[in-house]
Amino acid sequence: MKNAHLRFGWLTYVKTTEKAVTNIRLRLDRFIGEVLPDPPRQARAHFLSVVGGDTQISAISAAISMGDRFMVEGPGVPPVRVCLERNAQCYKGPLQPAGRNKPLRHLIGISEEFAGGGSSSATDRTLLADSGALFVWAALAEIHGIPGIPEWAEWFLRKIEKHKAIVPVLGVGCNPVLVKGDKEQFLSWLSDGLWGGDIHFPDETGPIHWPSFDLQQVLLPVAD
Amino acid sequence: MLNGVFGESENRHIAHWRSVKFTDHWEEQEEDGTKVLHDRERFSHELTLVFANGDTQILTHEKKDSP
Repeated sequence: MKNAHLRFGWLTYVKTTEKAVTNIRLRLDRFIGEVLPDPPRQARAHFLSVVGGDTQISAISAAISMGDRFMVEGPGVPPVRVCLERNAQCYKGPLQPAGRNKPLRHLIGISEEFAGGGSSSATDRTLLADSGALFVWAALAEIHGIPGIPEWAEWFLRKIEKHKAIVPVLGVGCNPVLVKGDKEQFLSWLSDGLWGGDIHFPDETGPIHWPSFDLQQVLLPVAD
Repeated sequence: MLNGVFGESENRHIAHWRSVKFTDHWEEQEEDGTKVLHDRERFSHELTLVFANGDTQILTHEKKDSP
């Protein structure tokens, strides 16, 4: 695993008023954002996690509430202007790194869409925090109520890749993806797979045991 | 809720239940011309089935339209 200063990105917030200019720059350990086609170099943030001092974290929390924009950059993410947009949620807490007397403050900001499960039936899109085959398949099956078994995960990921229904989005410390499609579409692909013999039913009758995913598993730093 | 693999031969299927919010919307016209918009939200069950032969079915409390 890389050292934190190589894994983390930066979040910069500049607020200009008549009397003063406030410039805050914080370490960003996780970020999920979606690049907007227009205007260029702007993104819609869905998740951000930053650490810093009391004042800095309070300022960022207030800025999120007001719908202000930030600059975000990190490993593999060029500088981009982002906003969590309206009704974003904030969670704050202390962090006590070893060897420091004073605790750091930690802030997580989540967009309304991501806080609501990352899925929007109106736009037929699902935002997921990880791109692993089993995670994507299990999440889509749970969100849309699709019958299936964990063993179909690799096949399903290939299917959505083939139909260009999965696109990577901006991520720091994770590999988020956006999946396009609705329940009817996913069921239709399953139907094709079963009809064509690409996927098969299990021999045993009974309940299906899906693996459980916790946040630590999904957001754990990627090994080198 | 019984999620899992059930049935035999052509009836072999995987079932997945979930709770879904349904919204009924209707409008009423008052005598004075006022239009009253009603929205009633309720939760109900949805059962999705995938059969071994590739057929799929989504069952809810709502009656299906006859073909």
